[in-house]
Amino acid sequence: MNAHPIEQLSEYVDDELSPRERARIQAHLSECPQCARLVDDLRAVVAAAESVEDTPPARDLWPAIEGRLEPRSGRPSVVPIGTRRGPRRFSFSLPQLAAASIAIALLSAGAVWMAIRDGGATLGPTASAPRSEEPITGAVEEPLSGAGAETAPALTVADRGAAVDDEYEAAVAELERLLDEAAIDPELRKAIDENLAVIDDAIHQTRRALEEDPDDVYLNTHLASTMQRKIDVLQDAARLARAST
Amino acid sequence: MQLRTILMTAAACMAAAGAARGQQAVQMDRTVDVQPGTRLQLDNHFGDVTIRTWDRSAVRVQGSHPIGTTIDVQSGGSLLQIDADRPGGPTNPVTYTLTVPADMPIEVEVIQGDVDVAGTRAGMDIQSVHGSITVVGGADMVAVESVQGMIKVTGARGRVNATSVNQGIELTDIRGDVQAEAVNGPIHMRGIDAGRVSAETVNGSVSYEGSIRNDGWYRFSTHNGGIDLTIPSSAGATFTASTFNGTLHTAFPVTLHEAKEGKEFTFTLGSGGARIELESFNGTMTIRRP
Repeated sequence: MNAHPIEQLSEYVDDELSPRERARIQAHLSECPQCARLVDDLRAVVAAAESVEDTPPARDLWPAIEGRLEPRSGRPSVVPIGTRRGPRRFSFSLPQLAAASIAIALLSAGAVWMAIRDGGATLGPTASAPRSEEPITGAVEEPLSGAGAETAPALTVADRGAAVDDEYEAAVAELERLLDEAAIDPELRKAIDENLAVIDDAIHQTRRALEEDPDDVYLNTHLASTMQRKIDVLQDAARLARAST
Repeated sequence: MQLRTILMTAAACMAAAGAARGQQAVQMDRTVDVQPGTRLQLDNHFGDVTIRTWDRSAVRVQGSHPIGTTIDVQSGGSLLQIDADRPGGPTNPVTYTLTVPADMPIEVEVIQGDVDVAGTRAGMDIQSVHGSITVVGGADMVAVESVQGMIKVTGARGRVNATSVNQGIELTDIRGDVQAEAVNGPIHMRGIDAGRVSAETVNGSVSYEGSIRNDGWYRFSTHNGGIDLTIPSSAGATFTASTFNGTLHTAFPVTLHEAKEGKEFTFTLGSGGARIELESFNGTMTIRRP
């Protein structure tokens, strides 16, 4: 089997390869489950990103998430699809793919925040999340591609993915804070904390391994899936905490 | 259909409850006729739930609860709902034994307590926050989830989704696709006949013994733990095994290609039709034949 054609996979997904290159990639995918899975992941990320922007979340949900995804430059984080798409719509390096898939998980985590808040808990700012000046309630008043978006520079999912590490930590902190506020059974909370520690240890080990080999396909996908697992556990714990009170 | 509410209070049984008010359990026993296709929904905060089946179009509800607790059985349309009103607090235990039609879909949510279901030929969605879940039977979609409890599913004829955070998962004699996820526990699968299998845990071993379909896709992953795969001698599959600190052993000769020395291996058996992925960050991956 040839080396993994990582750099060409996003172009393959975007259908931007020559017929000859496309055939070469297809031949590789037929015998490389790892790259085939990466292509599946890429398509899932693209589909999820398009879905998110085509169907804006309610305003009360979005600010907390948007704040976490907003680039540090202060540029608007959401622009119309039509203006955002350039010749290469989605271009990922491997670590960016991992990060982008986690970004989608963070969007999913937002649903839990909303559910918790609807159940009576409040959603406060975190250290790294911009504070919203408006109450996080009310109906959608305008599309996400609000004023200023038309002239904003194009941002891709990969742009968001590049900054997702801090956002991931902020999301985890927020979900943990919600758990702290919930009247959850101490024994159950202890079990959840122990499991989170198990996941943290796995994440730590994988990060250290990636320092030695940053482009390793397995390590990158393993890190992404383990980080997503932590979000999943926190989401479930927050949901169950609400159900049990 | 007009909602029909059947309110069964403990009052009728108080005489049998004795003088130890608040201490002694009250027994209730009621049978409710249901239409074919009716779905059962049971919420129980604290207490075990046992479900068995029979050939009647009716649900028998047997409950054991403290004096003062009220069990509501609401039947309306295609839904039968069972819940308990616990003036003494949510931790007053209510233990249920239900007998339901074998083809009745089941939804059960328990905060603290074990759930034991046997004999159904229908789909089910069972959650226990703090308790084990044991299922024998089931069809269509069998979804089971526990945070702090062992999950065992045997004899399901349909897709199985099993999630346990802090305990293991055991799946036996399953004919249907499988998705199993754990964090701190092993996943063991035996007698599986499926085209798609995904089993992932963080801290625990993974084992699989079952069919490998030529067009199937099988993925087994753990961070800390071994993977033990037992496949038919006739299986045709393309294998990819990835690790960081672990190793790969095959109990039969294969022509191994090391895409990354000591860390990524590929090999093909027979037609190579099925895709099999093994990932263990720290463990040993073993592939054997029966």
